[in-house]
Amino acid sequence: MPCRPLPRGDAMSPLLAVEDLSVSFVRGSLLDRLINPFPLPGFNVVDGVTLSLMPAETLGLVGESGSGKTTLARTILGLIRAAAGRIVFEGREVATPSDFRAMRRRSAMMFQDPVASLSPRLRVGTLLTEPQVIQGLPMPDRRAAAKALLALVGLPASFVDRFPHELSGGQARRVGVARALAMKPHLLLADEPTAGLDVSVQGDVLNLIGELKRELGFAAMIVTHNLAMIRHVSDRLAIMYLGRLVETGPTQEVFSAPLHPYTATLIRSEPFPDPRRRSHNPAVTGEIPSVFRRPAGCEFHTRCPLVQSRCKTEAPVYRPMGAGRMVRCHFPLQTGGQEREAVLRASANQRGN
Amino acid sequence: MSGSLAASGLSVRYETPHGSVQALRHVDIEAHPGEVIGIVGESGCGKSTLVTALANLLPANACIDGSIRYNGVDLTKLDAHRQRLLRGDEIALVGQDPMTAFNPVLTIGDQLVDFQHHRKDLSRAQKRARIAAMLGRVGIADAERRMQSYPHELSGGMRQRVAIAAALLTDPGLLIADEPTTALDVTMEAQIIHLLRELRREYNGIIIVVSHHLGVIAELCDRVYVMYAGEVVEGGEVDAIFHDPRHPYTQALLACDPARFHDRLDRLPTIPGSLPSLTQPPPGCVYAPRCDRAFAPCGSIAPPLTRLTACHAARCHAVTP
Amino acid sequence: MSSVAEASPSAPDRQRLVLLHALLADPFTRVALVLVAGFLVTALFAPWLAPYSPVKIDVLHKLQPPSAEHWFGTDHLGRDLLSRVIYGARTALTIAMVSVAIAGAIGLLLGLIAGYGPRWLDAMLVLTFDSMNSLPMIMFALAIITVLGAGTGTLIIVIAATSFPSYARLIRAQTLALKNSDYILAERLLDASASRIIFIHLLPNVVGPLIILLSMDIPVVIMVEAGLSFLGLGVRPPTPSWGSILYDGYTSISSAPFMVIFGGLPLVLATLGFTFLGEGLRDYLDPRLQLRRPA
Repeated sequence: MPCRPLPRGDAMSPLLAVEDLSVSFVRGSLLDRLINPFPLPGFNVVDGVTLSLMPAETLGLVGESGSGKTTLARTILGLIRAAAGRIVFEGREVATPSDFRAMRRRSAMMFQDPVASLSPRLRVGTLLTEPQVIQGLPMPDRRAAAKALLALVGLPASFVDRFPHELSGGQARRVGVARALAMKPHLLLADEPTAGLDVSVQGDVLNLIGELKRELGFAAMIVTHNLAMIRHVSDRLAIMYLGRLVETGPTQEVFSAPLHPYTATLIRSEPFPDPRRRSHNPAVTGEIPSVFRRPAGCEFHTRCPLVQSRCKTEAPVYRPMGAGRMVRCHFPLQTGGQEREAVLRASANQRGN
Repeated sequence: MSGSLAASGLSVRYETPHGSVQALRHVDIEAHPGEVIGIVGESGCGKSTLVTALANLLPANACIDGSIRYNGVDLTKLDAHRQRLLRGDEIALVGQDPMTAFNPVLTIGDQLVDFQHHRKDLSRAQKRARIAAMLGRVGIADAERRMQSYPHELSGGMRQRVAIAAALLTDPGLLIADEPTTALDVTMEAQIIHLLRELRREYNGIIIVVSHHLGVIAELCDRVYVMYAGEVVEGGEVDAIFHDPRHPYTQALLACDPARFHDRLDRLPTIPGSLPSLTQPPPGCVYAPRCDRAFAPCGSIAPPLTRLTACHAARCHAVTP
Repeated sequence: MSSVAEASPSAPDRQRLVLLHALLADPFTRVALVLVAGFLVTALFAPWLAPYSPVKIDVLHKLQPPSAEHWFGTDHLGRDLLSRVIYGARTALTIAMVSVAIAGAIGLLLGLIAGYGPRWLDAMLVLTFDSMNSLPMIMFALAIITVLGAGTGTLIIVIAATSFPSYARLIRAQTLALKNSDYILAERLLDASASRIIFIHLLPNVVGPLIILLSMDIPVVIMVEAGLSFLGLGVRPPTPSWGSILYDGYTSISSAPFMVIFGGLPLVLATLGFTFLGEGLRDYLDPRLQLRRPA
């Protein structure tokens, strides 16, 4: 292991801190600016995200499609250029391309589609050992190293000669895990690690990540829309809506007492596998607005069951509320669990009829 | 017009260059008007094949055995022309990705008019009026304006609503929804589930919902068939399946769903092992290689369907009424 | 269905067998394979197949019609036409293969660089491709010949220079489509160098359509070579070429019409053979025509 400029940090210093990070869609090139001196205003796909991740912690980044969660993850690793904000990794600011390179050397990303993120014409053995080859690490026997990695993720050694398209979704996931962890990263970013997997296989992959996490001690950021899964694997949750964080807090607390109405509707929308507990009204109506037409005021006011006139004009600030929790709402849900359900249900009824 | 649907002893084989794949084996299913039937299973369980067989859309290399009786007619024995008529009038399909169901260069309104081509008795204006009414029924507010839109101008949830409207326009006796919410976000999913539940109040045909998502099945269905490796391993009332599952696979599948557990689990439950080959299915029970309760006969004798109550049945040696 | 996919072991050699099988299933492709094989054998074994030297002049027996001695007859200098046609195959094949290979390699490299490289470089390269494409080939050929003189090498340069832009554009489009795919992003996250990404990850995935295009361009190049040789801009006499045989036949068409026929027929057959083969390959490999692929 190469020596590190800073120790991995004591309990209080975060492994990764993101401050006020924004990503903009429209980035006019020089030519565009010459032709059109009055360009359209940039649209922030990710807007003012402030987030931190402690060493060995698992953070769940939750949002629906278009919430900017994947963009945020890719920006953190430098695949997309941020328009504003700061990224601090292991106590050092990450700004220049070489900073990002240094950071990527200590981090890994798993993509949503496990097969598509493996180069299709290479064999599994070559793919697994590629990170080491690129980093120029000495490797006397590539095949043996690949087999050791396969064993680490519970796949038979004979898989070294397979091509990515010959793997099932779960097997490709395992190869993805092995490849991500080959360099012993301090940070793992996993984008929808269970997308497209059956429930009986998804547990396998998550258990594997969990085991390796205990063994290797990396921190993980899991990007997902799957609430049922994330509640079992994350320590903390961050909920995104239209490119902004609307709520963060410890997973169990967020699930038992969500503060933001959006969090509450997300949790209530999840179909529950029990016919005796059917939901009677959809928790939220309407469509997710486009980032190009971000609603004025609070971005959730167009769908919020508890909307008030202030929400339509004044954007709420992202503020701390209680221990380790943050919320972006003028009127966070503060009542007890049952009352909150009742409030939401009543308002949903009104809107439904 | 609506009638009952009953598949009995239905088997489907695909002839491929690598041997014949037994995608479905001795499947028995019945459905009556007004019922919502759920078909649940993981990938490779044969639910897509079952849907295509019911909708008479099997590819040319499929060999079909057994019968699918709808309204007293065996669908497997119909000639191509009558199959087509039936597909247009009586059987409607709502797919997973509503984007591919529409022609991208025609407006929604024009396409929905075309869907009613068999209604020679209606004028174009009458057809458009029916469409507007139907779009209103599936919860699309400004129907007239939406009819002028192109498919790409609608969101995923909106397209799925239009797809449901299109399916209902022909007034089918059988509506098959194949993974209707899989491509949608959770808040849209809840709305589509709600819509389907609303619709069934006024609709008196059969609705078949196919999904891998146990939550969707529990929310929507009256009766459920659980499929594994091309077989229906258990079938029964939704309450019985979720609260008194008898087949070990159903039990394991339910136990795997993380949505059922409120408190954080350190290890998520899984089903060890993998799906058997469908080219050479195991001689006994298809689930035996992964079953923790397998005993002597499971490896060699295929278990018969054991009736537990009037409409609860499981295909397992270990189950007794 | 995943179960079907799992049930079928798909080793690469097996895929190759399936490919051959599919190619042979189409009657046009079968004919094409026979024609192309015949053409290749003729070109390769020309010294053994040709009964006479293709350049041996025998003015006493000029413009003789086909006979037992000279199956295809003789030309205006008394050279054996059959031998010239056989050696002409060699000329045509050499020029076609070499120029297409050079153009393909240049197109592949520049296309990859344009597609994966920075935007200013892409813009510059695309401008180059477009300006190369806008040159009229004959004018360009005349200009090059004026500078370098006529001959096989010049011909190859002309053909390669005028055909590489279309290959480069194809490769550029393919590369642009793959540039943001997950596996390329994954490689970038591993800090793979640009050359590693281009040559190990992009190249094998973009080269397929190029090979089809190249195989379909071989007959075009054979025609071009014949055309330029016909005009006297191609291979230098006395090197045998189908184009110059046609030209010689054309000048003495009234006295020896057989020369045009024996010069033109192999040209037509070779062109047809390569075209059908290219189409067969395309039909099999083009994902948009999956219907013809066995399940």
